[in-house]
Amino acid sequence: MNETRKPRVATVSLAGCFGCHMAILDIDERLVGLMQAVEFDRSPLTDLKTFTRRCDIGIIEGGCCNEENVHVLQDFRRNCDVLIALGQCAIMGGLPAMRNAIMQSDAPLRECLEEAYITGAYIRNTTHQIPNDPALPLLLDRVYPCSEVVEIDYQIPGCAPGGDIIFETLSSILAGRFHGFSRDSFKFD
Amino acid sequence: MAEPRLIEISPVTRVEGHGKVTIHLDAQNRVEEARLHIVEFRGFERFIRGRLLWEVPVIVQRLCGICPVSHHLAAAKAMDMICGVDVLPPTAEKMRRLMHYGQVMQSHGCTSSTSPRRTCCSASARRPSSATSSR
Ligand code: SF4
Repeated sequence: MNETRKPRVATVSLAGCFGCHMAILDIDERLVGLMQAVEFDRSPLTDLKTFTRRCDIGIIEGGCCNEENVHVLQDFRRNCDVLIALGQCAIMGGLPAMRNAIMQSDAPLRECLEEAYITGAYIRNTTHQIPNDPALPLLLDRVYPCSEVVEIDYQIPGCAPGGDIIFETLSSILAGRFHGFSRDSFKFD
Repeated sequence: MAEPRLIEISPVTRVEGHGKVTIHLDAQNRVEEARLHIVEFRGFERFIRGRLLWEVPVIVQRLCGICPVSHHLAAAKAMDMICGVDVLPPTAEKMRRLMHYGQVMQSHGCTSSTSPRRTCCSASARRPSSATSSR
């Protein structure tokens, strides 16, 4: 990393709920220091929709539930030196991956679509059609964790991860001294 | 004369994440149609079926990380209906209101200066436990 420039960070939300991005904001006042120490490139925080330059760190929220998620994730892999999977969705699919495991179903995705658009108790869909506009990205057969699609360098677990753990992990990765999490950081009561 | 055109705005940035707008123009460059697409489909409607009653308010929080409390409370109300609860105990009513105010404050950029993990507008308000859905 060149001494004279700030590390560049990009973030994206794939099949996540934006809770992990909100959790980045949970680092509260430390965000000011972080904003001074790094430069945010492509990210919902900056509204940049494409990479302006190669980035040092890419932070991924959410797994892949449609083809667009896969393309964006591959784009992040190409454009970032280090990829961090932030939160359970990115790490193992998270709650959306519950659709992979609908019991006794041969076609879980179809069942989900039908429940949401046709058979659900409060649905008024007179055409009985499932949205299929060409502008919609194709859904994948399953929800995939990021690590099944590209190589992921670090994972920060939690749903959503706490602000402290995000800040500490990010700081130590930036400083090149990340050696795993301490036991205490995952003590739940 | 111009060809019919399609203008695509993607992603729409001032919604929770995953929207797209397509504007269809005719050969005279007039708007024929404007469509809002919700591109992220996850299937919560189906996969909450068969789960334990008290899990659902916590599961549906993950619909949206910006307004998880709204989803939590909506599910709590649905659970009330399933259980035949018409009148909430005063404490439950107050807790629900408090949570919702916490979310409103958080969504409007309120941050505390000293003890972020103890304020109603930080983590504690964002991922409530299922306490308020039980009686
Ligand atoms: S890990 Fe949890 S908080 Fe993060 S995107 Fe997924 S559901 Fe939302």
